[in-house]
Amino acid sequence: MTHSLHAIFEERWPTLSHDPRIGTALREWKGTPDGYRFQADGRTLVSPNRPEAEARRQIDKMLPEAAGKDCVLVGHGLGHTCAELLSRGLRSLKLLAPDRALLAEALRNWSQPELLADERFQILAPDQVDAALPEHVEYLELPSWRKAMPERLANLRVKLNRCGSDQLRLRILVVEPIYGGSLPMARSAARALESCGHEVRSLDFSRMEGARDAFAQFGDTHPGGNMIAGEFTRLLARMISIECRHYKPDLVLAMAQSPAIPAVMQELGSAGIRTAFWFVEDYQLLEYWKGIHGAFDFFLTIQKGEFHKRLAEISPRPVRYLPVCADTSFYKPVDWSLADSAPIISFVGAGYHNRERSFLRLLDLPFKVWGSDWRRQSPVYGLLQNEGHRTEVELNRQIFSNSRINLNLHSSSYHDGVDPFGDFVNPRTLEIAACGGFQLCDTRLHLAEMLEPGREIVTFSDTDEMRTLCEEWLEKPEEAKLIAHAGRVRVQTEHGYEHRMKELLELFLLEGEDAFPHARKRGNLSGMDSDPLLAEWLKLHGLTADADLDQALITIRQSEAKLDETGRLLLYLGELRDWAREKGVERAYDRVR
Amino acid sequence: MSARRILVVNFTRMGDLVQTSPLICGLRHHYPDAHIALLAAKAFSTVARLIPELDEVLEWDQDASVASLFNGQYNLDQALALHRSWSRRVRGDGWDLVINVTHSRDSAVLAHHLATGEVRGISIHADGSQHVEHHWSRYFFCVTGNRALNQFNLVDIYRLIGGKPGPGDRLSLKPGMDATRKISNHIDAFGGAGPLILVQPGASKDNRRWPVSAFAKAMHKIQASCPARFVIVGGPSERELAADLLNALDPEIPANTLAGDTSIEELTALCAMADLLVSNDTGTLHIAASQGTPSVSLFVATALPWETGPWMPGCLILHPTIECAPCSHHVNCPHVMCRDWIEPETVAGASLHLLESLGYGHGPTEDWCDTDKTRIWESFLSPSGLLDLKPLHATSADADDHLGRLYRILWEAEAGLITQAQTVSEWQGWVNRWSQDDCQLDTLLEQTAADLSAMRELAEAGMELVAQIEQELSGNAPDADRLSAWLEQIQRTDDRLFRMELSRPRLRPLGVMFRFDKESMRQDSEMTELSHRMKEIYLLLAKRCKRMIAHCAMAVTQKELEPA
Repeated sequence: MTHSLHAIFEERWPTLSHDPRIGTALREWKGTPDGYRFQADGRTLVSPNRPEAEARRQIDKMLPEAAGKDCVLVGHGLGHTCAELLSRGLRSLKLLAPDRALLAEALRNWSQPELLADERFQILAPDQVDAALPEHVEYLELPSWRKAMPERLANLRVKLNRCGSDQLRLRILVVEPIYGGSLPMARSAARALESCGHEVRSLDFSRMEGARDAFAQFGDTHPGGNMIAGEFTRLLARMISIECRHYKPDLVLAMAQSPAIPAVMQELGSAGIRTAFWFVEDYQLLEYWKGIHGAFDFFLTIQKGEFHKRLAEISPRPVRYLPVCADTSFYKPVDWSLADSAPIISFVGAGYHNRERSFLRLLDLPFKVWGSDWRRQSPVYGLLQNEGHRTEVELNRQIFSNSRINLNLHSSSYHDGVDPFGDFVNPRTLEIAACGGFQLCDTRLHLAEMLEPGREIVTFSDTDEMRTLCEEWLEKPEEAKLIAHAGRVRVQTEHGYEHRMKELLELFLLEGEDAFPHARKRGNLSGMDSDPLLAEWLKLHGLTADADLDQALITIRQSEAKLDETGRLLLYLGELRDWAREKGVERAYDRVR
Repeated sequence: MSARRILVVNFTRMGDLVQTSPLICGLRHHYPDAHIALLAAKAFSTVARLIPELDEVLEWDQDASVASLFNGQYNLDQALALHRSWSRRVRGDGWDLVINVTHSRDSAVLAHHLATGEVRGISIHADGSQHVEHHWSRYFFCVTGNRALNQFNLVDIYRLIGGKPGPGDRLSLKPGMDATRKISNHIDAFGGAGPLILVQPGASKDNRRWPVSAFAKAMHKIQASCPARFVIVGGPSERELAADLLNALDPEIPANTLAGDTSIEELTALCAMADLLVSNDTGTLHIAASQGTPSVSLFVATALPWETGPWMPGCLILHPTIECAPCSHHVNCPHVMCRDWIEPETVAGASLHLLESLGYGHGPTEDWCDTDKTRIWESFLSPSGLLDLKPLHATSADADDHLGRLYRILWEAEAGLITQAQTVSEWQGWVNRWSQDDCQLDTLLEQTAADLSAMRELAEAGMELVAQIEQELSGNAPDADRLSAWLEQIQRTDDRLFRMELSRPRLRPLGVMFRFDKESMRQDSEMTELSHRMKEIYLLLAKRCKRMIAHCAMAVTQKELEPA
């Protein structure tokens, strides 16, 4: 049987059987040992005593009418659920295994070998999924896997276009930081949420930058004055609270460095508003996560492993991995518009110790550097463009799109070259790829999950390799273009802000359908006609065709002219909308129906 | 009397719709040949269809309207198309007279939009600014902030918005034969003897419900003196409450429940067959009144007998004497103690009192209304045809009772419902209904008269300023600077009036009505016409102050001449 099992795999799923972990497992197969527990991170994924009964119960609940249907099942045990589904007359079943190592483990102890020969059955690893599921296909998730690896399931839902959040229209408040790298991220997140069909409002604190600096300076120059800065943060946090009282969001998404202090976030939580904090920081450099993460429904991080363990020691509140992404609506291939010729090898980023040391190796190559905070005394300073000013994003995307090699070295103040323990991926990695730029990037622990080294990106482990690869890839422009193209496709299909925001919402929805208790379900206004006179009215009042109700109302209220029929109806809609919001009627809309 | 098409807009709940029916009767009386329609919320349009005087019932579909704005596929273009199509259907050729008895801002825009002629109630000017048109519509809004000083029933306010009340005005609901037959069969099957008493333990909000256990005690006491048959009524959401009440009753008491099992039409038929209703302040109370069935009603929390007592003579309305009653509409009381202030003995006594008048039993004990915890009001129709209340309880009148009556006399006289000469007898009649009086009343009335004098002086100052403006305008070359200065002084005068209104709550009805009058001027553009209107408004305020001062003096004098 061992032989035949291996043979079946080789014949039916060669890419899987060639995975050494799976190949070895298949060769070692002896059936399910007594008392065996199939687990992930200590969590049992299938009932050790009555797996058949468990499978029956699950299918009764998830797909009571299975006959003749095509189905994708995410997650697996040792074959019982698949066998039960097929015994009920499914037309086809694709088992989507979220983790290759766990699939190998399951196959090593597989209890249903006959199943593997069933022509209706197919096994896929997550990287073998690259398209949305057709609508008619039933999509099932095993509950034990939802709990065991929620991020992966959320990611798969987005990939397969089976987002529960697509059925909802949420009201979301994005809390921006006053300034810093997470500010554009907050704005891209808000834009993406809106493009996903949600109603989004952003709390813009960037206007407070001057005040913040003044308070900080006061604190620096006056003993005991630091408390003023704390008071200032609390004041801004009260603004979040007041905004929520009026806006009544379903979700508040606070970005790193935003003034979302725990007391206020807990107050929002008590009022039934869901909260999330996206900590797009290196936890080892900035430690304010220790004081805040328990205050949110979800604390989202760009690092996992050790960081998640440390967070769990502080609070049992959910922590999820949500890596950075690229704003693909902006980062796309563009032409070079500067007078100088396009760069050969480029780097965009601030001057850090490891960069200054590493880039010494490239001084004799056609290499240019853009960014701020580079030391004048460093020889690399001679490569610096734009007088060492921080570059505008428009210039960044031109550099990314037109450099023959984009160098990307994650910053470190503690290493001379590549940080051997570096885990998270910086936004620049994905922005370069999104622009269709060829990229040489230092190896990062989480990088391979996002871009496949050798196919979608090229990586180096030390500065020697960095130098060698620069020279090599300058000689292979056509191959570089292929890799750059593959990287761009991957970012467009998996790593845009729209994808990430959907993953975020799916994390909530994995809790259950009531994750957003007041969310409005999207209905269908089929049968509603377009209004024949609106366009004319908007034009007459100097508004563009895509003007919304608020813009129309402002125009009406500023005018003292007699209202015509359209004006009166718009005013009526405005009053009705305000009334519905005051009474909370609009929130009950889906229930009323 | 030229209106051919009249539309009444009422988006409120069941009880309010029933309370609108006398207005519709009155309109039918004043405009016998007009096409009269009611625009009601779709959820309650079945009630509207029971009003026989209506030619047409139009529906406002709240769900569809709100959905078009908040649906995930929200699209202004489509929402507008939906409302354009609906409003054109409702508007038809336009309505000569629109009476809007809803008080929401969206209804204001709609009322204006649907009308080709006059609008009464909240509306907008052509430029979109909001105002309230018609004296009694303004009075309706005035009541909200002056509940203690209002002694007009909501039904009468509605009627007065429609015109002078007619003798044939009534709460008018007519159930169909099928509903009547079905209920009749049910009552026959119920069997038993004695009066048929309906009991409504539910109400729109939990805080407006008298406790089930108290209802049960009262029913036991009624049964002990006058064997009766009880049917518990209510809506589908009140089934559980009705079952609780049924379970709390002695099994020997002949009682059953139809809560949740009757349509509105069937409930109307059931009320018509009943001898008595015992109820919280609910729509059922008004349905019973529409069928001529007397009631004992319990007004707790926000409910106030003067406002929404059943519009029918001979009903008894119980209201706790607790200081905080009625709750403000803006308050969410965590300890609704007032519910416990009304005792089962009082409810039973009131019920037995009414049953005796209907020929059942021997009535309550003589001291049934000797309670200091509850005010017991009996409804009757005044000579002017409006609902009035007289106290059966022993507790004394307070200042607001008397001042409220003086205001009522003021407004009735102004509307021509009573002559100036009748004001004295009206006051005497009122005072004589009370067995005791508040010894502090004279001082209070004198203080109020002094405040009214101050308000009158401000009104006259306003008149003076307008007179100067008129004089300036009548010249050949009006001076813009001088006009501007006078207008600023007028603004300051109005601010002082507003502060006076806020700081002296007993003047507030006059202040609020004055502000409504001024808001209604905004449409006028000609300065001459504007100043003329302004002068009229100040004059009206001065006159009202003067009359109220006289009323206060009359109240003091009458008391001295003819103690109660």
